[in-house]
Amino acid sequence: MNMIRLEKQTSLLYEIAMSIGNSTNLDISMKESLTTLLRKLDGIGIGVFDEINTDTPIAQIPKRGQKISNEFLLQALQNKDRSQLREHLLLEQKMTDEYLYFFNLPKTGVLFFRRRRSFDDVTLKVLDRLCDKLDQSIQACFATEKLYKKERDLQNSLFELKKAQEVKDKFLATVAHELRTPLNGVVGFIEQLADTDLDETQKHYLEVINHSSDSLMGIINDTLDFSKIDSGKLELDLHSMNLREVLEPAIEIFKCKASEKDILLITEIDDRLHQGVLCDSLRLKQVVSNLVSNAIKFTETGKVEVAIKLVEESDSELRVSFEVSDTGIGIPSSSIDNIFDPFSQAERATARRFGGTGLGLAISYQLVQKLGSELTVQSALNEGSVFRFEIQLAKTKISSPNGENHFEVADFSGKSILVAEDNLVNQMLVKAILKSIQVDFTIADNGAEACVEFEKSEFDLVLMDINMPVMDGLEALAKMREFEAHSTRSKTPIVALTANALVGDRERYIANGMDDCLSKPLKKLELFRILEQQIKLAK
Amino acid sequence: MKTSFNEQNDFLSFKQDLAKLADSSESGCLMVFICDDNDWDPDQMSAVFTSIEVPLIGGIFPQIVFGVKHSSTGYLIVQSDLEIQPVVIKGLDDDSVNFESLVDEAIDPELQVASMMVLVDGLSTRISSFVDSLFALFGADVRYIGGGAGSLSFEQSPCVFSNEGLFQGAAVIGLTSSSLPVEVGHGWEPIDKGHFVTRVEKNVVKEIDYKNAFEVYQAILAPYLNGKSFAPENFFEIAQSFPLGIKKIDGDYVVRDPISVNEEGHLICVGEMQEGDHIDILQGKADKLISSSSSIAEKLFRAPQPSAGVFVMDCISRALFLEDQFEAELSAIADQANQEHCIFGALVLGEIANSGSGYLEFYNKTTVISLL
Repeated sequence: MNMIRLEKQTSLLYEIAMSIGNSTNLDISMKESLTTLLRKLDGIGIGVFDEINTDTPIAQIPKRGQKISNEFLLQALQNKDRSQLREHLLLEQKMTDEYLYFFNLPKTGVLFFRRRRSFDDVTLKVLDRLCDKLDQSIQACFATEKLYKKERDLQNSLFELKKAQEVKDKFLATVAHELRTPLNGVVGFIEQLADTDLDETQKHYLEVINHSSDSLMGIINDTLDFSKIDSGKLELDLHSMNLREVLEPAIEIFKCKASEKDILLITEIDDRLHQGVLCDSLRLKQVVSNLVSNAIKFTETGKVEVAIKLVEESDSELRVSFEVSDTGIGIPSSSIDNIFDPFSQAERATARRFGGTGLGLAISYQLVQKLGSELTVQSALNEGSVFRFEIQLAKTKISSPNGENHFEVADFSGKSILVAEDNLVNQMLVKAILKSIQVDFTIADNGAEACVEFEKSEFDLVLMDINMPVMDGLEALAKMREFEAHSTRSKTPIVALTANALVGDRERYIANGMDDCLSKPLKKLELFRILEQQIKLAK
Repeated sequence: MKTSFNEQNDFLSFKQDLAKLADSSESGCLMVFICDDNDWDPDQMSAVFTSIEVPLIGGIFPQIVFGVKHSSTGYLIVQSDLEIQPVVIKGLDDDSVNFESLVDEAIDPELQVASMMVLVDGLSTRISSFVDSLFALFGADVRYIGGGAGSLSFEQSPCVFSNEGLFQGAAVIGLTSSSLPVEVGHGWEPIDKGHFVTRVEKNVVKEIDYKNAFEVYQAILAPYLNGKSFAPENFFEIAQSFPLGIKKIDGDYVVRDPISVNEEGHLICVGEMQEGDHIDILQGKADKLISSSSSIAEKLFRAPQPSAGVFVMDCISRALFLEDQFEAELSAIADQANQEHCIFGALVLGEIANSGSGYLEFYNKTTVISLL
């Protein structure tokens, strides 16, 4: 007899236990477990209530027409704290044509079970043993639901954050555009003005204006750079370069500033660094310039030393260390951990005394990180600081040494250029530059006017502002390209002229059909380079 | 109750008889049972069913039952006073269908439902899931009677119908507010106990006791075959006498009919099984099966029953197993009824029943009877 009871108990336990806890989804798990319990124990109804909501069960079968007496349910819940009939059986109730059982689910609440006939002892024992497993599986589902909710909340926060980042990027692009447009006029006409006859006082004033506009441009560029880095949009432009040729003149520029402060600026570039390497010269120059500029800014007496040394060389790579040390004010130990954080300067007083946005070091730190290294600092208050990083560089052959600094203006006389630009100051600037190289030009105030001119006459090149009233530059570009497609006219180079300077803008314009992109404030040299490239290409 | 029973394969007569009974019905419903061997055109049949305005449900079955006769050709039309509302549920072969929400949407919660006549495409793959969902919604306070329509060739074709037309892979439910008494019995007895289904996919049993299902089944049956070989080729011939019994708590079984074995040695059953199902191997003896039918009929008529129709859903495999003795099974039921009771129904591919005493099951090799 005992063997039969044991066999029944074992097989029932096995059959039902296999159906419990197979899913962490509450609905699926409950359906599977409760269905199996009903089927195997030949029940007519089953369900789970928690201790708080006694009106609606967490789950029940059947869903329609089953209403458990609240009186019995409350009684069962009360019995959870009292001595019980069996370990988990809380209440057994004989109704007119069925038996109603309530079992304890310790952490969840109660399980009710309806049956036409009463349970025997063996089955009750089985249920007793399964209650804990069912309880645990429900709790696991709740825990998983909580995790899913947290994950959903985090994803929502991330989404909001991305949206905020996009809004910030757009804001920065707009601000940059609004600042660069008038600055374009200032910088451009400083260059034009410098070519005129000026007396000494005027020259001095012009230098001051030039210095101020350079500072303003530096702040705008820093802000934009930081935004690009912060949003992960900064891409390195790796190309062949010579470290000495790129960095020596960049450091040399600061000699003047150093001598003004009576500081010695010593540059030591390892003689063995004559090899071409693959790197982003602009960004490397930006880091070194920033470190040197800071060192001079924060040093009142003594010296600033720049040491660029070859640490290691293999057949294909160089390992180079960059070190900028000074005998300046140093960084207090309380501030050194935050020195690379954005908008961080060692002390408020420092910012007031020395100026700056506090973005330079943050940008340098992240640029060095992008270059595959880490910028470190050692400093002692009132003794000075040492900033250092090491980068691994692949060896290359240099294609055109000194190409960056020497540019001879080709002869563009007689060429015709259509300029679409709504800003009067910018129109004047472009006119002045183009006149200086004897280029014929037509000015259009917006995209629509430019299209009319474009269809009327053939031009060697079009300079197209992007943000214009009536019709913007991209729409005008599309119309011009469409016109070309339906006429016998060959493709005219169209170059975007824009103060939108965020990363990706250039690529976007080129993807739209522009041949190149010039950013404002317009620099003579850049314009000439583009003219030479595009007009030559068109030939 | 009016009936039209014709053992001839005559579609024209069927159309005329159906129209006549429909015209004479002021209320109630029509229940139609058609033999699969008639091989009537599905489109023509569908057109006939959609033209009927009286609530209609029915199916195409291996055989039909009228009195103590059973026939594999012809048709049976029953015009009953029972008020029903036909509902069609499609997608019984579609794994993505959530039957619980589908049925919940299809049946108005305000409708008073005391019983359901449930006819399903017996060769659909998700019958048990569908039956589970009926119970999950309505529970044991509703009485259920029905079975699987379809062909003994085991090739699926449109086989259940209502006024909406003829469907494959679907169920047709006749909902009624009358509480119909239902009895279920089979008479199969265990010969080998204590096995577990350890790997299964729907109706395909892959492993029993963690071993290849066919190898285990073969080994168990070997002593009962008197040296006769048991191979995939003669599987059905032998297996029809040795079904699997899913053990219920009261010691009874939900019988599962293994109808074939595939190349991997997996047993294909009529109806789904679950991992962890405790199974015994059953064997049938004619007298026990007939006695079981007699016993359930006796229970059905124990209380005075004024109703005029005895609705029978008997498993086709019982008829195949009992052969010439099958009429004795129908007689055993008739013997418990009186002269006024008209016995009608079909031999089906799996039976659906619940008398309100426990869980709703999809059975095989079982007899289900009810009174309309």
